[in-house]
Amino acid sequence: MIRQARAVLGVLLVLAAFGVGAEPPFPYRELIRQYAAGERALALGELQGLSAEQVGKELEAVREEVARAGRCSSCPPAPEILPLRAAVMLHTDRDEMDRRPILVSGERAPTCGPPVQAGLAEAALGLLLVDAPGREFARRWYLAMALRSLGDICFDEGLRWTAAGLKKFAKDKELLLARGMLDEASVTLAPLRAPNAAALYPSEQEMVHDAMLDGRLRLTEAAGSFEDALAADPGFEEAALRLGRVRLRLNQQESAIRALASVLATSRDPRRLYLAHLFLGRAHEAAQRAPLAEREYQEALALDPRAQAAATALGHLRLMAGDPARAREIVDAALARAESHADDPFWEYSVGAGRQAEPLFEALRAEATR
Amino acid sequence: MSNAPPRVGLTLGFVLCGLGATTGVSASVAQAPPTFGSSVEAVYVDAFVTRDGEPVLGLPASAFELRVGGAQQAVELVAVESLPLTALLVFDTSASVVGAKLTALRRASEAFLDGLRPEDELGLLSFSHEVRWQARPTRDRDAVRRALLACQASGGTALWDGLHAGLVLLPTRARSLVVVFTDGEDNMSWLEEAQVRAAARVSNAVIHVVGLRSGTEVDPAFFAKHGRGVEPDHVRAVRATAEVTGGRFWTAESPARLRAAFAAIVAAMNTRYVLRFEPSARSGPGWHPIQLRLRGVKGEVRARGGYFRGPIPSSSR
Repeated sequence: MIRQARAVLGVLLVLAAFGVGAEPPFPYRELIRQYAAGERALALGELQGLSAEQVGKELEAVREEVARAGRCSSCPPAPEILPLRAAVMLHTDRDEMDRRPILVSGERAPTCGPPVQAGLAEAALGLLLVDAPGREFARRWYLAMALRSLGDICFDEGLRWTAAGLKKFAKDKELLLARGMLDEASVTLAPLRAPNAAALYPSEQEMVHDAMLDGRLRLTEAAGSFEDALAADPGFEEAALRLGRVRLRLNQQESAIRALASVLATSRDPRRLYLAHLFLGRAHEAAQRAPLAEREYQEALALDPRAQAAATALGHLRLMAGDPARAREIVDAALARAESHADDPFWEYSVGAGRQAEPLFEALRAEATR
Repeated sequence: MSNAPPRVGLTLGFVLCGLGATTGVSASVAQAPPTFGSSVEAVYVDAFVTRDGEPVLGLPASAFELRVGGAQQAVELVAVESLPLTALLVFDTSASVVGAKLTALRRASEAFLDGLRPEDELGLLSFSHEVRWQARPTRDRDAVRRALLACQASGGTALWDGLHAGLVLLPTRARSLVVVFTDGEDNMSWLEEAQVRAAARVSNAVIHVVGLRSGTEVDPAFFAKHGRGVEPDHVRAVRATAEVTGGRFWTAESPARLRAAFAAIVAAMNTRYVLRFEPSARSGPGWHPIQLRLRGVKGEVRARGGYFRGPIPSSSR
């Protein structure tokens, strides 16, 4: 009797461990095919029933099959084994849902990793690197992931994506630009300030110094990334603009001015021209050339009369020149224009490129469900 | 944009007033707000005196010793009640202030409104990534209340740009006050701390900053060594900027303390001393440090550390 009970219990435990009693998990490969067929929501829902370990084993089996297929002429081609792009995007979409839990308010707030599903997507992505179209898909995926991290203020996570992408696409200008933007933005959100020695204990000074050194290191790395992007494409205006801004923040005014002047000489893009004038004004201001700074700020304001950053810059210059009435006039006019809800390109400068992630993902999804 | 050369004369913090208003006054000067356009320069210094944390009232002009560049100045007391206050609330309405914080801020502002005198003016600026006029300085309290209700929280935090706009937009008067509320660190401003500090110096406004978070954060290792928390750098930055003007940083971790902070700020403005002096005609443009101390009276005096006389040489920025 006791032996029988033990046997039943053992069977129940085994069944419970395998989830018997509930619906059996959907076969993984079937989920991928559903996604590829456009049944995105269904596939995403069913994927929840599979553990990361199960998916990892499945992907390893697929990897072995793909490897075998590469060695034999009679084997089915890789896309017939599994639609790999769909596998990548299924896990990417699941990751997107996991990283934005629904708050009590009903909104979805981003969180930074750990990206379990994104890791699975990357594992599937590795199987795509065998041909040029697959590599191009993978390159854009890394770029989209990095930009999404930028927009979510997940800078270290984004830098991991750019590092992984650049391992495979070493001189890709867009990944280099994204790496630079992530480093630059991380310092923007933790601004560099000179420590006030008189107000701090020695150990506090040390902490502030460490933060400053870390910030300077990140800006230097950002400058390196932008220079590498420019080496890959000397006409890459966005990289030149950002190189100028970073050089300025590193107090390398003359180098900043050269980079920004190159943007002004070649660009026809109003946003870049506005920002280049704005940054050039700051470079001249920092170099104690107030008249040149004022001219640049006026150029920026002429390009975008509703921009608050240019008006603030100009107002400050007039205030410090002993002209508070004109300063007030300029700033007041800028605030009056705020009613028009116009976006200042400067507000978008740090993390606004994160908005480019979703169109990239959308294009990748379209390719995965073709 | 005017191409005229910078005006030689007075920057903010420095006003021109009529000769008649300055003669024969030795103690409290009950007078209309200073008028502009005469040839006599006057500097007004808004000072706050405390003893054991409580304001000290009723001091005569002789209780203050004011030096500029080491030279003692003859100071007069201007009756505070004769000078209407122009105050500007500069409120952080970035996304992190949404919900309960914004509600608490609106309620706390009532304490500030209640403390103003009928002749005082109050305005409201908000800043997220963008700075906005919510209410221009007015004696109409209901207009400010309506503006407070209309504030919506969203976007980034351009604290420095918001504070700078407040300083620039305040009318050049002898008594002006900027009260900044923020719950976080700047991440969107065009201007940097040093620039806004410079603007604070040339302004005659007193700046008070109310921070919703604790002024210090506890790092266990640091606490074990020093017995106190570390003041985050962004708190240090705004505190130091407020102190340049004779104001201070207030920590308000609860709605009750937020209200108390606003009430204390407006009350303090009514218990301050306005000192007036005429600097030497030989004093050139630029920054002039002020040393102010009490004479024959126990207590602490808080005031701005100096004034600028325009035009300001670029090297002093």
